[in-house]
Amino acid sequence: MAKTNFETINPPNPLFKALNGSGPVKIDPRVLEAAEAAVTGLEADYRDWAQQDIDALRSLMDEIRAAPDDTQAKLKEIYRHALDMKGQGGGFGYDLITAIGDLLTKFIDGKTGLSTRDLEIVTAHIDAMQAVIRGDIKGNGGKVGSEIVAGLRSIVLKPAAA
Amino acid sequence: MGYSEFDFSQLGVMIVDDNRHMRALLCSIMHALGISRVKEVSDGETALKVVEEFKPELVITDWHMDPMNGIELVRRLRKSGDEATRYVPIIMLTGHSELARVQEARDSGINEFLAKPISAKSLFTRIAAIIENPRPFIKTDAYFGPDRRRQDIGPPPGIEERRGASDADGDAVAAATMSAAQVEELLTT
Repeated sequence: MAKTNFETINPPNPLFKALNGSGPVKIDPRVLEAAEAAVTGLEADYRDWAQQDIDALRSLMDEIRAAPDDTQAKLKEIYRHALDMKGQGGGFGYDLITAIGDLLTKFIDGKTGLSTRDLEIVTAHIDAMQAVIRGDIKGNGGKVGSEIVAGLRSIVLKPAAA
Repeated sequence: MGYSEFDFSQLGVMIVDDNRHMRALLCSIMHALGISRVKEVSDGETALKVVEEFKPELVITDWHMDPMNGIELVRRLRKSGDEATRYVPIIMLTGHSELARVQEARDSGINEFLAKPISAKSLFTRIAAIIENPRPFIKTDAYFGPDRRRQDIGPPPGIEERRGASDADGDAVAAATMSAAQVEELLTT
């Protein structure tokens, strides 16, 4: 049987500098509260950030409609903005933005171009995110949120017209 | 018996993310945790240029960046000739949460993986995990980085026998793919 070279190393952990004292770690809840408050303090900024992503997505879609043969680089940018929105929304209480961003990244992933129907589907996702931000819909959005997500899923799954 | 407390004031953290809003969020959390030495950079290539001079105790990196992404950055850090850089703890944040992506991140040599969206608590949990449950580094022909198995089951004697350890690996992946909400739930129960 072939042997594999294998070595275990125990390097110094530089994060041990943060350990004050010995024995089990007791976490001061005030530290976490301060960190959570820092995130809450950025919630007002988040809506502006999300709007910037939505505006950028709309511009990219306009560019694709104007030059449909040159979409690959723009698709990559659309994916990046959608991934950013997916990754940020829930952190600021906008879980629907994360859910829609997730659907959009999954729809775009692997595509090399967008058909007319694809353009409509991507636009529907952008419109949905705009509605969430404009309506300041936080959390999962309740019944409205469920309908938005279900609606987007259905248009993705709907067979293209012959 | 006495207790230990965290005092993050002596730490330096390098944040690598191409999204300035995400960097702003991470910086705010770091400062709130008491970390004053924070360096922000927007891609892996820039991170490599400044890491040895800045000497971070922790690197928090995104995955998707140009011209060098987070995976490549981690691989380069783990190959560094500078010892402190080679062993620096790394947390990878990404919007991807698919198992294959988590495994790719793990195989690059990260310490912890955190799927976005993040919360202050989920990030804190990952930092605390590196301190409270440090893992040794493993060096093989194909891998260099923290032990990818979270259980201490001793050194694997060979490839054939390593296959038997896949359950432990699976546990590590399962832990790494937990959502922020699941981590928070665990932390509060």
